Amino acid sequence: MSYRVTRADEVRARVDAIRAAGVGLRALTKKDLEALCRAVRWVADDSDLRSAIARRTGLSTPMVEWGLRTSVESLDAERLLEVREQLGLDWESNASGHVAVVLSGNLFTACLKPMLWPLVLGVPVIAKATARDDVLVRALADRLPDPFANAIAVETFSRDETACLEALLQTDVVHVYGGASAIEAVRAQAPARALVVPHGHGFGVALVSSVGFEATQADMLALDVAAYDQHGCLSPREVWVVGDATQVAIDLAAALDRLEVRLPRGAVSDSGAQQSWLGTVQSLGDVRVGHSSVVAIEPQGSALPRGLGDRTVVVRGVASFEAAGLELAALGPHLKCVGYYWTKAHPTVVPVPPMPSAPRCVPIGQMQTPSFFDRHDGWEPWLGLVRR
Amino acid sequence: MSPESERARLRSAILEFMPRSIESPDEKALGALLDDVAEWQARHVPPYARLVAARGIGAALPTDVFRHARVAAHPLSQDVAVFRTSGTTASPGEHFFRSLELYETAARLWASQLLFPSDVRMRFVLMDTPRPGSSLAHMVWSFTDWFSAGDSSQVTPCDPNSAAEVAQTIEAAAGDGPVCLLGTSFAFVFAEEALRESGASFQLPEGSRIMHTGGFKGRTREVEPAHMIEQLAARYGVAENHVVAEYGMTELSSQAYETTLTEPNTPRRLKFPPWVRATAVDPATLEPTGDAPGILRLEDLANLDSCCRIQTADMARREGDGWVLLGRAPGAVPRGCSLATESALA
Repeated sequence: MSYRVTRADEVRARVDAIRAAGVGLRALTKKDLEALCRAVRWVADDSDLRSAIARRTGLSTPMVEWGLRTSVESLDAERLLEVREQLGLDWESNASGHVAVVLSGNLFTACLKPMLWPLVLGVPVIAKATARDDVLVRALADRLPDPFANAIAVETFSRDETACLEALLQTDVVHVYGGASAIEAVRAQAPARALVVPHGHGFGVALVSSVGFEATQADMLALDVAAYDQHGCLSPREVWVVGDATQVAIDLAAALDRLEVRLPRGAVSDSGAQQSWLGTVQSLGDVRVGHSSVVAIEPQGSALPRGLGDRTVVVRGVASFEAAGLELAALGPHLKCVGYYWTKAHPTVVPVPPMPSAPRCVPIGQMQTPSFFDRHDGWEPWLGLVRR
Repeated sequence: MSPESERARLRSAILEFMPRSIESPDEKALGALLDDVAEWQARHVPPYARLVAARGIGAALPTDVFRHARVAAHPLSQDVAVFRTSGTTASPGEHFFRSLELYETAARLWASQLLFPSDVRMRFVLMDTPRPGSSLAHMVWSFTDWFSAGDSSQVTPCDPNSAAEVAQTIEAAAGDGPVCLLGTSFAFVFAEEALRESGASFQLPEGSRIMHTGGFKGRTREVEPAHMIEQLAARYGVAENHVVAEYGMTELSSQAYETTLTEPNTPRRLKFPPWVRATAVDPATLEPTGDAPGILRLEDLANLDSCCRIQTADMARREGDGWVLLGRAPGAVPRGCSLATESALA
């Protein structure tokens, strides 16, 4: 009788291998964590890698460099150690087995947190990446030092290879990045005991007052809009203005033009659809077309179709912060981030939509730069990694 | 000249141009008249005025605008008809008509040329109930008035899912001369599935024909056009050249038809009437692509009270004096985790 090793068998073997290597993560020292941080920075500083990511994602190389730098700059061994101590971690308190990460639709930097946090907390990790966006995740897996090197793995296989996915998901914790159908597919295949942490698609909204909104604020908001060319779910697609929406739009358009010099836009994802959207908003409202961005001002009483990303944003007036709060809540769980700006004359409480949407709420200029230690889609980054 | 008298002048010029252009097509005169109409519309149709201010008088209005704004030179109180898109999106498109005179003139003149080129009157079978409020419904009911052998009130739509009902309706109509089967492409697919299961097929009288329209946008099934023609011809017993596709849209007032009835020995292609200028343009730059594939920009003189220059999202390539449709412009592969669908925000 002959026995053929299938792809699923290979995935199973990889899972077994990283689980075995998990023993090496039992007693991490500060030195280990410093080596981890150094290795991650080394990856982020690799210019060849940046170019490769730029080619795969269509983003400009400076944009990739910015994304990598801002994603890893908060990574600090001292703080990681503090978190471990606060969590009272020892080997017995850690989740057993491994963490599975399914990356099916995400920013290229999205792999950093779900891959690194388990390792920091002593849990092996394996990722399923897509072939079209596996550069950074593979670089991480290849370049981490011992004792992490053998406790991290990356696999790529197609959606149809359900046996491979099933093998990957034999775990207690799964983080899945992607659209609703990808999340549902993982939920359907994960074992009943597994905690599936979904990171679905979404968007952001900036809510600002025109009072005191000047060039500095416009530059901060422009960075939020331009970051990752709006491929990310924290990107503001709309700017809601209490006060003079037109002036905010004009200032934002000018700031986006200034930013283009430092962080040029990459390739437009669907130039035909963009052209059609532009013609539509030009027919409906006042539009500022910049070097690589479009700011459309929504006229009173009629809704503009939302931009398609690649630095397109709709600016609309709202009656008050209270009214905006209700409208934000109505956006539901797809709302991933609210960026705000107002002066002391205005309320200081962000009208946050209720759970389960739990968007990230931060001042403008920080919408797309979450710290390594920030909550992620409303959850602590170590959710499911520690047994209490 | 007042807006009203300008409109009256343009209306007369268009009504005079339409039949004349069938006899002797005149690209130059068409271009001049389109410019006149576009300039008038740029003064009286607010969304088009804004587009022209941004892009110049040659700009074509994306069909999406009809979903978000009233595209009309006249006030609501003067509407005599509103045609609505099928509503596959959150907000359906609406085309407001102050008069159906140009629409009906265009529909009758061009159907007389390519769908009913001889004077033979025929019985009609509607393969489905046309959606009320759609331009297609208005067109097919008008056809039954203009080209029907019997009283239009005798035309009863059938349920394409019921093989017995389809067979009964067709057999009743076919007893007395040629028959025209009209319906959406999808209704014909449903009927084909039902009839195949029941084993029913027909031999329609000489001169019978089939007009299908709409393609398969957003539907659960797709059928290759060539395969569909074969299937329809075989199922209903008509020659393949008597299966004619129609291309129209809510945002236009004129339609295109395949030329197979009048030119059976030339390649199958859609032909627009000579009062419509069709151009393939690059989706990204909107520059004409010549004979290379592009998205269709259609300039329709019969759209006097809305906007004559319309930008569609339909890919097509020129084929002689006609066009071959290539489906919708392909979208990009989604990148990142930003929500791609507009519906969540709208």
